[in-house]
Amino acid sequence: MDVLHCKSGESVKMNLGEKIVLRRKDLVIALNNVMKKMDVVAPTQGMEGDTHFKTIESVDEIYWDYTHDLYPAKSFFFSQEEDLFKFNLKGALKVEEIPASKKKTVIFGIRSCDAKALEYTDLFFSNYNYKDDYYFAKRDNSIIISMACVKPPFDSCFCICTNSGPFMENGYDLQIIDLGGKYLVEIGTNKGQDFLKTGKAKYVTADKNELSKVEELKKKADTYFETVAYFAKAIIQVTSNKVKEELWEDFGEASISCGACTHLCPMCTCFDVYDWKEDGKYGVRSRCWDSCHFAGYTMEASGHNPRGEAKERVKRRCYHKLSYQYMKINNNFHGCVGCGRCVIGCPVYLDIPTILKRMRREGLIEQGE
Amino acid sequence: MKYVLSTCGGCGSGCGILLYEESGRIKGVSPVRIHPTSKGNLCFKGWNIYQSVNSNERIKKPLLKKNGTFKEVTWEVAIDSVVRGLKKVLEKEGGKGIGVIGSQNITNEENYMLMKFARSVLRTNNIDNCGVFQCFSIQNQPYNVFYEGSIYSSIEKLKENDIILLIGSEIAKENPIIGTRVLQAIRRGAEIYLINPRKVQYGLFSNVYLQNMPGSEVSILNGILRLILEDRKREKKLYDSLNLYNQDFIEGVSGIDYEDLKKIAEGLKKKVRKLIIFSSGLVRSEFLSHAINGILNIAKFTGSKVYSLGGQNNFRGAVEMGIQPNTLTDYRLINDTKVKKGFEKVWRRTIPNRAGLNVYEMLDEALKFNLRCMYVVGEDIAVSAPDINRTRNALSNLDFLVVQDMFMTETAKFADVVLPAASFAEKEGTFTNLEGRVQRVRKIIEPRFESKSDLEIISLLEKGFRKRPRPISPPEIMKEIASLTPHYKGISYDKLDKEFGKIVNFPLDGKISETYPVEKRYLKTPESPNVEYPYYLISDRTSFCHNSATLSKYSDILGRELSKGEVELNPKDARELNFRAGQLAKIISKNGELTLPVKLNPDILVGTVFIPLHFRTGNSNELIGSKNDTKLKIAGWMSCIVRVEKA
Repeated sequence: MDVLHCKSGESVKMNLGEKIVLRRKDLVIALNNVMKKMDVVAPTQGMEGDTHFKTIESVDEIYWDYTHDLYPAKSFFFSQEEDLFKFNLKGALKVEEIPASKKKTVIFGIRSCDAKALEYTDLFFSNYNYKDDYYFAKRDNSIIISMACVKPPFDSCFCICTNSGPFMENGYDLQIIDLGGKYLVEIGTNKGQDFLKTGKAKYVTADKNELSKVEELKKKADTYFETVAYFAKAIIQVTSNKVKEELWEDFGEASISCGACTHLCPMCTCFDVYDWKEDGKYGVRSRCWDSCHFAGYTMEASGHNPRGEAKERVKRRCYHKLSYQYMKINNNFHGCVGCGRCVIGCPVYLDIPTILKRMRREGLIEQGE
Repeated sequence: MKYVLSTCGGCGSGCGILLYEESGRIKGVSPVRIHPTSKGNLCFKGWNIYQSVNSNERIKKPLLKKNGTFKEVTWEVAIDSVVRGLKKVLEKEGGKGIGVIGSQNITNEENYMLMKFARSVLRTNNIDNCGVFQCFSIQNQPYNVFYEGSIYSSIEKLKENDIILLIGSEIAKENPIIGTRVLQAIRRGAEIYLINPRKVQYGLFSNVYLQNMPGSEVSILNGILRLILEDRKREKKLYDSLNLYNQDFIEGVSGIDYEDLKKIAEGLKKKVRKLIIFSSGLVRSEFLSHAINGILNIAKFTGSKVYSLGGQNNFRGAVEMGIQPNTLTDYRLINDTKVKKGFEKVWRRTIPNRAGLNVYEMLDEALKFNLRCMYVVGEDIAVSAPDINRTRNALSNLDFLVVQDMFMTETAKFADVVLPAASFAEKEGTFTNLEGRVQRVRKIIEPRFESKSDLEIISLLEKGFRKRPRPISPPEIMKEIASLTPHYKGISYDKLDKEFGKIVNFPLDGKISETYPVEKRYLKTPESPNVEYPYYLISDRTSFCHNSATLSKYSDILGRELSKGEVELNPKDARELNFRAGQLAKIISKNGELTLPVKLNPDILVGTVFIPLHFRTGNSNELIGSKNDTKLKIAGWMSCIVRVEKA
């Protein structure tokens, strides 16, 4: 579809790549219309004042001055707790799929870092000739509308260091940019077009001024970032195994193995699988977020634990995320999208920017050492 | 997907937590970024404790024991059975034949109603909580400085301290998030002094580490006090009374280097921000009151703040709501007639005059067949009390035992009636964290299966005794609490909603003005190693669960972390005893024995063995006996002596 006939009678080009503009109230109309047919997940304001994404019942719930949700967007497709299938406990084994919801969901307003991470998790959950049906049942039925960051929402944001924001070049169904009073929408995919078609609001093609405003906002956005993370040196250090052991000992002594970094990280995907009894007749197999930081993660049946000490686990996470091998396997993704959540969630300064800095300054094994 | 803002039920730090729900189950949790103390952090327990709430191992229906096995019954039958059982004991023995155990994990409103029920309906002051097993809860007046004098450091300001003394504390496991504030202080350049027989987390960063013989803590603290008072002419009298604690004596009883002690005293004399943290390692000692006196004196003469850690999420609330045999709310004694009359006026019922039995005394009296009946809410005393066998014998002696809990605990197995209770995620109420911060707990799902909130259950029981009890909701109960409790004055659910996380009715970060009595004689622990039992047993947490691991067992991730149970030996001792790592050893004490595989640990003191407090197949309480601290009447069981044999 490349032309939409709007209320005003104009025809607006809706090709992929087109940029259109709409006012807030038109965006609200669009969302309202979409909500008649699809679920919408949007940012809301919790009673303490912070941003939390949830499925909304009405457009009035949307918190328009939102910042960012500490809880990562991967949770919409890869839930912290999820039932996989049922099985009967007595008699010949029969597995019963738990039917996934076929309802389309619009994820409205996630940030560029989360949208970029979804590109990675799409790859992860379909890689190695195995497609994770649970993830894709939700993902395939979702429409991603990401909101570019005109200003970094957290002090700890550093997406400019990982090429994952604040504005995206691709990887979105729709990207929205707040021009102040109105929104510019960039159409990324067919799904984005679907949303606009269902939205049936007043759209206008972006004019020259609006396009140059976007360029202005992009330049300005970069200047606001307070946190920086220099990846290059760290990746070289890790890949060539030139990090002092004392640094890992220091990190290990600090860590309380809470797993906040991995749980909050949009790029982390480890999960544990466990069975439980629903009642006398059925058992259920479920999965939940796991973390390489938990001691039990690598515990073997004998009780032996190859990474029994926290320092081994912190080291392992860094070696995983910051190695060149990671980038090679994963289409040149860094192990990080600079969302800054680990900086907030880690109580002991073992977040990516601090680790990179300390590796570079204290942990480098020089030539000949 | 819905969410609700609540307070974590994991430990006494009281971190903010967001609970997500979908299809009637908790689907995930998130930390709360702008919470005043947790600031976006959650520990391992906080992230995973929701799994216990979701567990299908929850007790689904009320249970009645018939011919030794449990049968599921309706709530009507169960409540009727409990009421009849309680009335029977009341008729025969009166209130003194009944003992009530309140919970450190239920809300303030529930503990208050339980206390009211026990005193005004069951006519008993035999009510206590199990906080005494692990953390310092105040029973006697001398320590009102902890809640009135405000020497607690707030969690927020903890990282601003320049010197921190940690004694008897595995802080990173007990209150992990508070432990991380210590780490934050370290990163800002703070000096850390650690006193513990076993090197614990953050020991690597300590500037001075004293690896002391168990039982020598009082001597060490008084030794530090003596060094601090050396130059202070005005305190000569106090200084002279500490004559015993000189270099030879201290080195003799504790095995530490006196020069290190001097370093600690020098550090504490500096005019910077200082903090002393103590917890279960010190609490579980028969000389606790003397140790606390020592700490408070040091704090007074150095201007330090003091921190007493608290394992359970609402242990402070339980004490403040009067779950103690001799106090009503706010630590006020029952024999304070004015206070007592104030309560009686509002309750329109009288309260028995004399203080009741504490939990140890209750078990003692049960052993002697004087206490006939117990009502245990949310505590697994058959596991968490020291001297497990003695506790279980006491429970077996009872005519009638009612247990109210989420899971079939070891205590519940002894019960005549088991009532399924709801979790913190299934009710409205408040928790008070260890700073005294009162925070809301909010409901995200309905009580699972046929469980009910503890509040509902207590109300149903009350209906069996009173013709027309007033219907009460958590906000109304808080109103009543606020009207009778000076430190809760003005707290309402509206205020709690508006001032999210900020209500702390006790002042924090203040000063001590009193001096505490010093013990002039050497407090020799009678349980020193001897020929028959040559080793000290030390026991502390190694995994992130509490004493009985009730909640952790039923979570996939938490349960996985429960250690399988090992006994740690110093390699030198292991060589002498001819043990290799992994070999089975039998650890024998006066009270029992345990068989566990050996693990070598060079970081524990020679002459000591270490067993985790709780592990998958058991609990070190099987070995540990109890001996009461005479002043505080709480048991000391740190210094337990054992011998080690080949299994």
